[in-house]
Amino acid sequence: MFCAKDYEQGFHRHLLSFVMRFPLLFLSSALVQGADAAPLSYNRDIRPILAENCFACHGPDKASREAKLRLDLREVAIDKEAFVPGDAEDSELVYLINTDDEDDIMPPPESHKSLSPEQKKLLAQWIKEGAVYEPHWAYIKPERPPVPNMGQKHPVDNFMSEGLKAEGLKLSPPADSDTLSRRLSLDLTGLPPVATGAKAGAKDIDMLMASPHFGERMAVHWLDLARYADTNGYHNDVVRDVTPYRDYVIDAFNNNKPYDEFIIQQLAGDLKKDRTTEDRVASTFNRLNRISAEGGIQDLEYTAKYYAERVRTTSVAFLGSTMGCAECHDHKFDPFTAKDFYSMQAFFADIYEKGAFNGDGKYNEGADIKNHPDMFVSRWGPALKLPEPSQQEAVEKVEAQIKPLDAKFNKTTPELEKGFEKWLADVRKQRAESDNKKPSLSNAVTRAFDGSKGKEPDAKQKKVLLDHYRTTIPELKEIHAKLNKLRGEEKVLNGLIRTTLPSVSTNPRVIRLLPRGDWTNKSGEIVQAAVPEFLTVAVPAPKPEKPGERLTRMDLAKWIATEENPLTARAYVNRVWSLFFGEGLSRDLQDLGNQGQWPTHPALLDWLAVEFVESGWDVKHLIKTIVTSKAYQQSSNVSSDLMKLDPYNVFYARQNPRRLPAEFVRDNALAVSGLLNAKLGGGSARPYQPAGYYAQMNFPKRTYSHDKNDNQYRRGLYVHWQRSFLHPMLAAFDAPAREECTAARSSSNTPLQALNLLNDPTFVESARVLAEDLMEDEKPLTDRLDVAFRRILSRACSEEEGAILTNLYEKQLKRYRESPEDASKLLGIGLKSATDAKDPAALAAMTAVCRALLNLHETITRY
Amino acid sequence: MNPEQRFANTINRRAFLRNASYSVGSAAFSSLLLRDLQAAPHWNGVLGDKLHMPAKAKTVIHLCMAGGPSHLETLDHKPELAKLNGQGMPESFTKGQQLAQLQGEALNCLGPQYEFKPYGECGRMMSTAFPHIGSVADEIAVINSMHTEQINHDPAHTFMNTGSIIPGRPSMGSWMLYGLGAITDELPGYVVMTSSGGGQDQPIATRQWHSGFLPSKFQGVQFNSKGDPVHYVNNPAGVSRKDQGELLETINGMNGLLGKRQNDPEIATRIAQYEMAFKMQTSVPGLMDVSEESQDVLDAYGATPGDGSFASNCLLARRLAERGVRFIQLYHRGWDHHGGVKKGIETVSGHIDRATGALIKDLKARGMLEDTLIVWGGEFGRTPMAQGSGRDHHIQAFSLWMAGAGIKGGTTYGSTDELGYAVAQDGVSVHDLHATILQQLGIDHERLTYRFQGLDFKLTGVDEAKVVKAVLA
Repeated sequence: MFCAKDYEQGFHRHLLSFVMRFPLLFLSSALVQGADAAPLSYNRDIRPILAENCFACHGPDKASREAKLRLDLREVAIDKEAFVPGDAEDSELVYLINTDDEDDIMPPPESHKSLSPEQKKLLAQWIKEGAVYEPHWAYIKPERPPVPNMGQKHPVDNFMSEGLKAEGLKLSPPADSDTLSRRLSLDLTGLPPVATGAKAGAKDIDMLMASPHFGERMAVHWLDLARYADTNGYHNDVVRDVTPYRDYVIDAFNNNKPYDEFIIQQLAGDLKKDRTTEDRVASTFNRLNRISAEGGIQDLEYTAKYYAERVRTTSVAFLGSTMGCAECHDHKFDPFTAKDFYSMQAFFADIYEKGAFNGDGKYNEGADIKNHPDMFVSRWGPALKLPEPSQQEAVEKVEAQIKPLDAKFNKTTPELEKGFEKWLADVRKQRAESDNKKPSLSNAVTRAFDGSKGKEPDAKQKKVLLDHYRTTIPELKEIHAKLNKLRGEEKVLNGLIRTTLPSVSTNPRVIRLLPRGDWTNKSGEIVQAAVPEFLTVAVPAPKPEKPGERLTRMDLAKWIATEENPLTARAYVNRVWSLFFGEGLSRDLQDLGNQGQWPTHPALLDWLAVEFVESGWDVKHLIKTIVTSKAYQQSSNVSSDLMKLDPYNVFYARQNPRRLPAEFVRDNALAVSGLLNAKLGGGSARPYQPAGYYAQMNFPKRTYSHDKNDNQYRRGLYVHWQRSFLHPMLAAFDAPAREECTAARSSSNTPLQALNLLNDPTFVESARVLAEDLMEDEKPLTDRLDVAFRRILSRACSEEEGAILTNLYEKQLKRYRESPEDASKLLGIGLKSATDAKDPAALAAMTAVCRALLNLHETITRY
Repeated sequence: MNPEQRFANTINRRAFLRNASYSVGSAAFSSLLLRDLQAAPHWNGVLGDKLHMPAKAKTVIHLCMAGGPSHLETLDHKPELAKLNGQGMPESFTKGQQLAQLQGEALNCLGPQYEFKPYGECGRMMSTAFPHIGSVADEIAVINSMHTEQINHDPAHTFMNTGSIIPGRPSMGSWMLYGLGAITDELPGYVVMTSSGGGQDQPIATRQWHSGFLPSKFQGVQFNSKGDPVHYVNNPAGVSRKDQGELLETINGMNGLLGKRQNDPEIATRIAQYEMAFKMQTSVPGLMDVSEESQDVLDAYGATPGDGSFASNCLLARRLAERGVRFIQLYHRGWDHHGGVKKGIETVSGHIDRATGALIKDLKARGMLEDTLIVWGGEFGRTPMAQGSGRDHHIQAFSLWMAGAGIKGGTTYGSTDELGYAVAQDGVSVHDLHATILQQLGIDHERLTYRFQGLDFKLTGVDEAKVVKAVLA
């Protein structure tokens, strides 16, 4: 049962999983035996045991239920005589979990599950105390708990101190100001202090959150949840431009858009009464799913896949709930039913789309792009063009030139008509006489001729022919050439304009419950849009505007983004916490349900959730609340004793060191070298990438060419996100392919990461550019090293470190003096090659030093 | 001793982690920094020595024929289909069934495009298009009753490799590494190589060898036949191995100093990973350099060093297996024969037949076949109905074979109806196949699980899966 994630942080930590599930046992082992112990809590102490060991067969899923017994409902359990509240000895359950009889024992041996002696005692004790049930903690609306009075100024610290005191622990001392400024800068902007100017003061926190890089930092996390990428995902995986959505997310965080509004815009921005372009761009969220253009796919199979994916994404991203399993059966651990799954799909049934984007698919019945005059049908469905003002201006300028020329060209005069009739007759005659149908005409013109088979062309065909005729007469030749040129320019300009794929509402498709998720099975009932039924106890179900009308995505969005919803704020607050501590207060960032993890600090989580909602879903306020706490600002340097006592940092007596996310590993190297192009938003960027990396793709075959301008040095979040072959550097540092909604990234430590930092031209070039800067003026090596350390690590270089690096520098200097051609090769790497350096050997040696520095564990870690 | 040798020696001595009298220049390493041996990157598997049953295989070579090989031109002998060649497909077979590109088309039978004849002592009927595979007929067990759930390449492939069509689930090889751990630390435990030609080359995605929700160290690593064999495995221009050694010594020395100041087990891991990276910089090119192989061996496989062919990859697969790589996946991307199945099969046979036979014989001769499991097959089969001169995707029935580690050679399991349309007897699902592979590795598929999104996931999914015992010795 502990085999899962634990090992990632070392085998010796299995214990923790236990501790986290049963914190009271850990805090006070006397509890089980002690007569004066506090009563057990079903949610904290009992439900995790039942969920882990019993609910699969005695839980919400009817299909797999044994003996008609449910242990998740008290009445049913009592009714089926599973236990007698208050009387452990007389309870069947207590007998069954303790018996040695292999035929009787629960859980049965074939389940490969077993209860520990402590768990058995807890269950018996709980029955003795009356077998009191509680609704699952995350399904009850959070109430603001009182802040414990522990003598701290900051509410977060008071909550933390309560748990710490019980353990005889206390917060670590504050991190030193160099460490803290680097921590704040990287946590709030993804960039080091050299790029943000951050120091460790209170004002710096505001300054960093006001920086446009704050939005970029927060977007990295949200884009994982939104499964944002630059390609369609399935099979051929070609470019599908939705970059304006990415920029919307960045702007939303920079403008501190209230989180409830952020939800509504993404799920239903297109349905707002006075919708803006921004609202529509935001609603691209619903169309970021993978879509397929593979030959021979069935339209309905793929719309079924798309709907199912939307429910998975919407439930994980906004509700911190896993509804995915309910596609095939009622959820085994949480009260989500299969009907809930399909009813949720029905909210999205109005989206104007098709399943097969290969030419075979059909849009929703009655959907017509003509009803949306400012949109066009792209390869990937209805799309919206979003020209920059300068692009708009340029297009308009060309259009203004085209207009009068076009009028002149298309003017019909009696002479022209006369000439046309004559031409028509001539061509017909020539073509009748000629075997090879000369004069050769374009397909459209030929069809206009031949389609009529000797008959007079009809009006439409005549127009085609007349248009063609105009291009043949000498008087219009010059105009025609000009028009062609201008139209060519117009096309190029239009090609540069970014597009996005907003949600467009049209006639809803019929949604059926698909038995076992089988799209070919049409026996299931037709379902109407509805929210998961069991949650309507906490949040009343939305009502349609007029009785009998279908509920819309807007209804769903508002139902999610209401303070009554017990999951929305908790899920978000928990994830934001994890951005600043590396772990959530409930450590499963995906799922707050029965199988998730009991929060280490449930009261603090609820307090933050209520604070967040009452502040007006103010994201910056939430973050400021977290980062101004002593808990956040304390040292991450742990004593060996504390490490032994609390290896997983359950009590927060220290900060957690964290390896930087993939994008920021890149950003950091570019920033400290001065190469970073800090441009905000815009089209995606293509950094250096190993040749042939796209060789496995097809339809069409592809080669990759990296950007040869300043786009090369853009931040990681702008890197072209190819779902089937994510850039190897991003993939090596655990960035997800974003084929599905991702709530948590792993943080691995692998040899491929080392190879990347050592040999990827991005890092070699960064090292060299940094070295060039360091070598600029005459000064001793130690001074140069000091500058480098300040930039990269925000601290001074120690004597010992100086000795190691000087040793490297001297050896390398000697070596490159001996072989200048090698120095020249090294200096030639990257777009900004430095082959004209004054002292190539010295620069090459300093480059080696900088490569070492960019590879340090400290460089890619925020302490 | 030059720095490179010193470094190489040092990193070869695992003991230095404990004794840590490692010196760099004038600075001394402290033993403090490496206090946490558990954080060292060698992974013994979540099962460690406690396998669920005795393992027959320690290595798996998956010969992944991407695009959907026709069972009717390879392993499933259907004389009745030959008789109906060109005639309408009886509607009783196809009514109400899912089709891919043949949706709405007239359905006519296409007879097998190659003769079948008995091979080996077992006398199994096999296609004459693959004589070398035929020559090892007694080593392989054929399953003619495979079926799958997905009719298009992308999801079907994902299903075959991960047991789910939802991205983000670990692939077979990742599960295997997670469960059993690595044998070697000098090479990745899971290696993927591709080759192409013979039809429309299937696009494949890194998802096929991804570790999904398992830690990314269990991900397959792609080895390339052109350019760097592994991304960034070669030094930058103007940097020699000696330079790189000095650089690594510096990096690890500096990281060691950090470990003295900062109590963070990741530092020791980072140091060890840099050692491993440095080792990979020699072991990978060494592996790819087949110059030490005799001409006889090259000829047996039909391999020309460095050509990136399936044959070369088969030879490399043997070298990877010898060096302790757990899971080796060789793709051939040219099996999607919508048109011209006869020609297509001829081409892919030219690419894979000789080398596949040679691989089995070579492994056997070296005593490696007994603990190496070979699985040959694609993501689905192809229709008995014609699509022009080819065949469409087909999920009701297809064939594959296994060999080596505890597989009962010469067996043929399961059958299809007389036209090769649907399974007639002993159907085997993709999850059954996965359960069987895991069993050979000593793993009960029900018990290798990982908690994600609040659920205990396993390779074989939610529905019951069964081990195909009949193909096991």
